[in-house]
Amino acid sequence: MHGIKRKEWTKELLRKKREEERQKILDYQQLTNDVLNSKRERITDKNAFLKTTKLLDINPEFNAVWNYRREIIKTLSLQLDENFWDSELNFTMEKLKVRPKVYWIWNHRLWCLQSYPNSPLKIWLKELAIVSKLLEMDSRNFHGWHYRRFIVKTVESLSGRSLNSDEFEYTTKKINQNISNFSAWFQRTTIIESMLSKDQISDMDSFINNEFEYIKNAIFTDAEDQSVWTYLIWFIKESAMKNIMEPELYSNMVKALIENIVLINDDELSFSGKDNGWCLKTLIVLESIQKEYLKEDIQSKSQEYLDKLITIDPLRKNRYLHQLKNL
Amino acid sequence: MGQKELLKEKHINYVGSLDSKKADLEYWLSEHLRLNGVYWGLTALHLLDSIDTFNKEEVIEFVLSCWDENTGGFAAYPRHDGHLLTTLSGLQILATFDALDRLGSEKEDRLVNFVLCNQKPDGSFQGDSFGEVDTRFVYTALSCLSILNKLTKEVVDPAVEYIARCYNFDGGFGLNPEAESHAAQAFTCIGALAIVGKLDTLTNDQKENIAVWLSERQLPEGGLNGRPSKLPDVCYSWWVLSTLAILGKADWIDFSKLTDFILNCQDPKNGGISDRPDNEVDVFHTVFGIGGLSIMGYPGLKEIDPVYCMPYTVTKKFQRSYAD
Amino acid sequence: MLNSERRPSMAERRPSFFSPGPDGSLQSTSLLVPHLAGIEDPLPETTPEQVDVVIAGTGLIESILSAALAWQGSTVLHIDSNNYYGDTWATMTIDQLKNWTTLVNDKSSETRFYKDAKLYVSGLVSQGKFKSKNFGIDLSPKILFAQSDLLSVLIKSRVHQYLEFQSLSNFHTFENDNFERLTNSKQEIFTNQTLPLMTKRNLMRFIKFVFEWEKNTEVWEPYADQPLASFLVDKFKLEKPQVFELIFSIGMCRNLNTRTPEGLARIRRFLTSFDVYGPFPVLYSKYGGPGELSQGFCRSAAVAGATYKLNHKLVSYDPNSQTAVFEDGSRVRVTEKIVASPTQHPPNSGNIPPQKYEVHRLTCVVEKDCLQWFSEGENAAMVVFPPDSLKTGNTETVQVAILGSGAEVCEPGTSIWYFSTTQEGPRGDLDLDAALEAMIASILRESSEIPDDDELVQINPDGVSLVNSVKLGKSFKELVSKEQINFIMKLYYTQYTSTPPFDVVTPNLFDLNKSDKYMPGASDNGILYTSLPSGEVSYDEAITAAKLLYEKIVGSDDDFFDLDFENDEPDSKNNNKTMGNYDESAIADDDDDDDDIRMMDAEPVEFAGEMEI
Repeated sequence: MHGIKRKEWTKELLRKKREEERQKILDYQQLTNDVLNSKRERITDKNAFLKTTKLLDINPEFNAVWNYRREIIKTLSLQLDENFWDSELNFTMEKLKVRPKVYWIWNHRLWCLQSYPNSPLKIWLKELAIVSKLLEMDSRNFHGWHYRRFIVKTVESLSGRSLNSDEFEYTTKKINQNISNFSAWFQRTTIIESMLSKDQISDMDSFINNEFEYIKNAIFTDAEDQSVWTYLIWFIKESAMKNIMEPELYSNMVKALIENIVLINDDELSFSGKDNGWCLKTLIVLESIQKEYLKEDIQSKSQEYLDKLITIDPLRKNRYLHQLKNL
Repeated sequence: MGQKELLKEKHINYVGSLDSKKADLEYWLSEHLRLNGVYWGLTALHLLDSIDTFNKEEVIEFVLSCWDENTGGFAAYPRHDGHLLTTLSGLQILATFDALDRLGSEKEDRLVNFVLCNQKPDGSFQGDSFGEVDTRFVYTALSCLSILNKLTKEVVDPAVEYIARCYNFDGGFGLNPEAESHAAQAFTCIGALAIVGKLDTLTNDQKENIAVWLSERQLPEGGLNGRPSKLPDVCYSWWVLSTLAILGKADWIDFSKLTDFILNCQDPKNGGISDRPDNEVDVFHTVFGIGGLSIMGYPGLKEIDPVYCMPYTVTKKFQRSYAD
Repeated sequence: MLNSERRPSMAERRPSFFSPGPDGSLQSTSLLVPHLAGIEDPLPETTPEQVDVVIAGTGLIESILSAALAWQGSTVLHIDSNNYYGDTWATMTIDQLKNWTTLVNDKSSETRFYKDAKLYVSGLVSQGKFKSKNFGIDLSPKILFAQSDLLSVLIKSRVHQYLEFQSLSNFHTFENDNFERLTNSKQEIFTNQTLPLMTKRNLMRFIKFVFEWEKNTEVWEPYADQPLASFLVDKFKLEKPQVFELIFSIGMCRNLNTRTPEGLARIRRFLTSFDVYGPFPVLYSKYGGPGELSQGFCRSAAVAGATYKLNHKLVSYDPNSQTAVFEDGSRVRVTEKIVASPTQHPPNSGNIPPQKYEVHRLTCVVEKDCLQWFSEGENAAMVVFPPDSLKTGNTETVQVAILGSGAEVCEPGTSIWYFSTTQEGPRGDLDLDAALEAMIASILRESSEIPDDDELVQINPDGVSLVNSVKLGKSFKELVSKEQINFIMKLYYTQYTSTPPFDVVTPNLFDLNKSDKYMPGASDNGILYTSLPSGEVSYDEAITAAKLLYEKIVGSDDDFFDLDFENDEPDSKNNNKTMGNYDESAIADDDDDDDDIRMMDAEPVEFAGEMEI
């Protein structure tokens, strides 16, 4: 099981554990049997609903019971007011606090929001605050990020307003808190692409320049972090910004990056006697941009870099050999 | 190189004893995973060449008892609800025992219909009628249809388009379009493309980019992680390695170090494999640990098909593409 | 017996029985906490005739030892000659401090543990504007690193349930008449706009290195005998502000001579503590520091069956009959060992370990809340004056812990400043005074002259334009304040200890009184003396010392707080542990339970609190 330390079960411990669990198992079996029977008989009254609560309290991963619960709620829906939906949302939150990585619970919560009477903007805004809170607890929980994207889209469609600039700031905040939070860097790429496609950036030059400085700052702060390097490569190679920039500006930016990365790598060499693998990998990508995209006539060092990588990063030796062959 | 060996007998005993843990509360609380658990255990046994540890007839009876009349798919346990994930497990078990015919044509038709009904207009699949959509279900749906020889252009082409939308610039795939890359999604997406014979919809640059991203998953201690800055976990030796194997680039990671990592996650006393050394074992990590070893050619294991996570002896009968 | 001027005891403040669990159900806190004899309850009628261990003195080390022994199964009689808990680690009211000062200055005592105690109490206290018992002043103020052996023991022993902790994240270094806030986390290095890029890189490289410095011997071994400062400058190319910050604020080293390995260990202590419970490295206990912790461990010991007696003085011990005699004439047979704090020694003792080291302390209560020095929502800060930052040209650092009223140790509108230095002799007090002066100048200029924090430039009455500062700010030498600062209390004293400054306790400290070294005629032959608090600002010495003593009594420290409360845990918690995060789907499961890589493994976050949504 994930992250659970193996425990030595002595006979005595095991006996004690089983002793303690015997009644619990009987209770659980009885409750499960009860719920599944009334499910089969399609009983959809309040009593059945309460039983699902009881069962899900014990086992919030029981997807068939979540399904049954929704069936019950649907048949009762005309009698249910906002208070009910609020309490149902609270219920899922209680479960998520214990099991923040169970798909079924996230799913049920989303269903509640969508079923909420008139599904008003205010509950979605509240949900956005809640998901921020969850991402404070675990800033890489990808259920959380996935859920956030969905909430943002809903808020945007209900309010008719783009949240791109808020969400962009949000990723800055998360990255500042933890430069290794690739989830946030990734989110930043999708938001920037969306801002570009919707023409939401008024001063493109300063935007690009700020982003460039931000990246530079990040690689100097932590040159071992692959999140930053991955983002750098997106920015310079994959993003739509490449096509927006004047070719000369773009070429200079690539050059400036190369200079800074060489500086970092030289510093690393003088400190530890070893090259920095991420510097070399990124330099290879940047050189390929110069050669293939910018058609610049450069003195390529890619072969030298790959030779070095084979030594300093032997885990991926075959990959580098492959890349050498294809130079 | 590694000092340790695969404790085959212990693992066989471990998997064989799983159904005798009824005095433990955990057994009952994991009922919603039972059919999946049977598939994981059976496949582990199969790779260890010990499929007889399970009573074939009992297992088949159990699978059939999980049939959900309401949906027309398999549930995790009798009286639970049919779902694509458990439906695939049911079919995988039947296929392993070469007992797909036990389904009967009526159920088979309903099952195919269940899978098809869950495809959305954009080519994606939901897991059941409750609407959860992600690339896990594209894989499960296409794998089910392939096992039953029911792949068609109508189903496949939109699904392939959807997968293409889940590809990210970094070379990984997300749960959905615009979702962060995750190693398990690389498997579901590349595996799905492999099932339907559509790997060539990816450009060579993309394939290389994917393999680069996957190869970065190996950490200095030898194990593989699922995303940047995460801890290694034995199950990624499956998700990552199988995907690299499908792309023909399994050797982009270091076999000997990964083998050591997996072997270090064995419970030397009671058998079974855990996510990381010294953690509690479970059948999920046991099958994926052994599966990873099989891909790396660990001696004495049956050869596993990286696309289906079943031995080639089983999967050679499956449909790999639709007839035009 | 009961002093009406005392502060409420822990038992009065925190009656512990049942508290609501995360699901709203009542959970037993597992330990039923009886009142302690002495203060809360009348003394027990009878003293036991025979016990395994007698401990005299309820200081922190003795209290930890007492709890460890009691839980291990020994019968313990734990006494204190004072009518309060904590001994040299106590938390006191102003009135209690008056008595204490008088007692300490009484030259008749054989061995001096304190000298030159000078207490000033403002008339405002006798006039009733401030109440003595609303102040809780620590004799040996300490801060608790989030990653430390004491914190692990607090959690393991569940003593933390009796206590309330608050975070402390603001550390300031005084340099060139300026207070600089620390740039100590990756986040701050990344977002700091003023640090040059290469400096960021060098700092980060050092911070990463220091987490695993012991392994990377090739980096530091050439500097093993050199001061940390030269290592930082030569090897990591760090510049003076960063070097000073690392050595003195983060490492809290006493002077520039600190050797590289010691310094690295101290810097790591701070950094690994960061983010264990939140974005701060240090905690301190509300209502009083070590005094409060001592009381907590005493309560734990009492739960495990130890007997408590305050106002109970040891007068002699006979190692042959193994009998301890007390001032009230009662006696007890000791089957295992008798342990005493040096301050609790019997008359005519001859075995007290020499207390060679000096710590100079100055504690003031000022009529300023000092909120501008605290991080938002916090009530404390640390200030460090590195060598040569004071007008005295100090060679040792002066460390200042500032506690505000939110810590429930002083009245609203006031704060306590604890100064300390290991500078010996008269220079020690001069350095403390110079630090106090610098603090006063700083608080006055910040709290009075600057009307608007947002205004960056302002003109003073002479028409000179000034650059404003935000929070603990820039230099304002030109600006002389007319305002005075009101002291409610000011206490100077010099304290002695057998523990070398800024060092940890070593085993040989307790080797002095072996049974074969009895002093003829001494009343304390056979007594094992504990150590007094050192000049170290953290609690680091406490567990080390208690463990060493425990080992001397029990023979090994293997079962030191080897407690398993697991079975008492509510069931729901157990379920989560075993079933938590089980993978919930089949072949295509993405297994997202991919834990973050952390620089160091943290202790389980038990009191990080429920997530609040």
